[in-house]
Amino acid sequence: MQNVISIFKKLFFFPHQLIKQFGFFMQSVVNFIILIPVYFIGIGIMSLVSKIMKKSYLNLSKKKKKSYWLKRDKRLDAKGTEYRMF
Amino acid sequence: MYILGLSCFYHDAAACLIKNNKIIAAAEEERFTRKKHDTSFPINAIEYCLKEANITSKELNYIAFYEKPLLKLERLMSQHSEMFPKSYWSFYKAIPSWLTEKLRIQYLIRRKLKYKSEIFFIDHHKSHAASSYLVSPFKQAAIFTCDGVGEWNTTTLGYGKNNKIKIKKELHFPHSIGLLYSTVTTFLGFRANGGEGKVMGLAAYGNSNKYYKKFRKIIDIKEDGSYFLDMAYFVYHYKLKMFGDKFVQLFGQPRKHDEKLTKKHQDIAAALQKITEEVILKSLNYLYSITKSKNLCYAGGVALNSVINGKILQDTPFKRIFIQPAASDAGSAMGAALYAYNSILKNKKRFLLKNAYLGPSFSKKEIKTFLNKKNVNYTEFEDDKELLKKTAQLINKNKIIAWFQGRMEFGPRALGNRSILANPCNQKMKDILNLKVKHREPFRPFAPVITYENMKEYFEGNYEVPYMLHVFKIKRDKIKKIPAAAHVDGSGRLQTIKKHQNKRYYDLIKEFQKLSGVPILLNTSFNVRGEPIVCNPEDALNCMINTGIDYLVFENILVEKNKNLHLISK
Repeated sequence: MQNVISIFKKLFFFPHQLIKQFGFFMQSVVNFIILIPVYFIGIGIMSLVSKIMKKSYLNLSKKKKKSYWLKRDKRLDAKGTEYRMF
Repeated sequence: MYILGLSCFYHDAAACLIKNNKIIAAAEEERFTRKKHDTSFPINAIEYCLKEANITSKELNYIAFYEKPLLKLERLMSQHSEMFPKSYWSFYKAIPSWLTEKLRIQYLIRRKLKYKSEIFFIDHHKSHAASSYLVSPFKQAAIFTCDGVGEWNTTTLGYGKNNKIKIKKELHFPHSIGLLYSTVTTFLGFRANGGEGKVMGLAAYGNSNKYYKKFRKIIDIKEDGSYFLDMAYFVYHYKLKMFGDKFVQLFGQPRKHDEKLTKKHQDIAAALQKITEEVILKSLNYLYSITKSKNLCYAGGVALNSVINGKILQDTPFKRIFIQPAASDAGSAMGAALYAYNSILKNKKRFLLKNAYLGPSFSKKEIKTFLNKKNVNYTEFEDDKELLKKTAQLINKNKIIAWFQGRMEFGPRALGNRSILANPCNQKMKDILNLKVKHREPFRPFAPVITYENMKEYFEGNYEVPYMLHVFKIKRDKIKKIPAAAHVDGSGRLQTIKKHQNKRYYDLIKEFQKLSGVPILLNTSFNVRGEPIVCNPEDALNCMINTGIDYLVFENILVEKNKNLHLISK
């Protein structure tokens, strides 16, 4: 029985790999198509609004400061926060 | 009460199971899947932990996850928004895994484990902080965490007292000394999240002054250790690579991974190491000034930089330091579980981590059954002393010994249960080990293990380092005695061992001392380059058969490679 299984495994190895690769290819095509509007509309609008409001999230521009240490983000220490994913 | 801690999806996925205040088991997923730094959901590690406790997932009271996925997503979206439209490819690559697993972690845990009870989400750096403080011997301590990035945090300063952890100050992404180290690691042709240790080893060969000023152009370091990266030199906040064109203009062309290492690469590594040391030591001095605690607990990926760790007590006011063996993300699984037990559920009794042996073990019977099944020729020793004597003789004859016993280590270091041992007195042993087994880059050193009572005789450090996370200078007159254990700058990343910590391992070193006069062995992890440390007897046997290891010691069984050449073709 094991011999039969191993013959089948060998026989279907390349078709299986081909189907797998095709699956990955289709996945990347679908992701590409779906994520273009998500990115260019969703993130684009978010970016535009934050640029209009002059909101910077990443603190990329250097300011004259004595220290760069930030106070603890209080959201993370709020009561019951450990039950949440945020 | 059983609590399972989990970390996964970034690097070094792991699981840790605690029963009340005791750690029952902890292991990285990579050891079971044999994929180095495996990030996948740690189902094998979980299954092992449950098996060790002899329970099913239904008996778990709580599960604690090591970070807050939605906060991380918030950071990711902020990056893409800020860097729009340059970040499309990075968005395209990252988002699918968020949709399939990272955002569905709660569902995945419940489905895969058939678990219905509470799940805690502990923020990343708090998990790191807990992984150190809550298993340390200190009632109160300053806590320092530093890694690439968690949710937003990259470096934090905190304080722990009576099981409560309070983070006082933090630095946010993209300003990260861990990511700077990874950036230069990739620039030097090594992999990020794995090659950083190689850069640390390379740094000893270089002159730090040559590129130091260039590094100071890209990082502004304040006296309190806080820092700001000039992001014009980096692209990791919106691309899939780490350094930008401006970085290349400043440092020259990056090294390809198969290109020869030159003096320039050594000097860049040395300057990076110097900058990192400056940041860490200044931050620690500041941490002391705001906490006034003499005790330090330290965790995060940067805590694996053993060169810096070896300087902390001499260059800061701290008197005692504790770094647990799995200081990077794997250890966060342990931190999350303990934080849930001690801080959230307010249990007072703490676990004191005394060793890193928290992984799977195999009985003599299991090993013998396996060896018989594989048709392996072996010698079984009734008297353990005889085996130790024989093994010490073989090491003294410059044979390479694979040493497999007891429970596997948790964390990246082999500490005497899954180790390859060799003679440190032989000048050529480093090359022999590299040629026959490890196939590592020739500039990387091998680490020594020494009996604790002999430490001061050989090394300039004066405190116990059981987890091989500190580099100390070897005393000048001793370097000649242990040339294979000395790095180019005369230092060694040592492990100290006391008898009660690992008796057989300790006794073996003592037997070797009787023959050579040296209470030291070379200890390197039992694996080959690119593979995780071996976990079970099968991994161990495969590793011996496929490399130049001469003998393999399985508990009280000695396997000689030359008597098992018939296994090679299989």
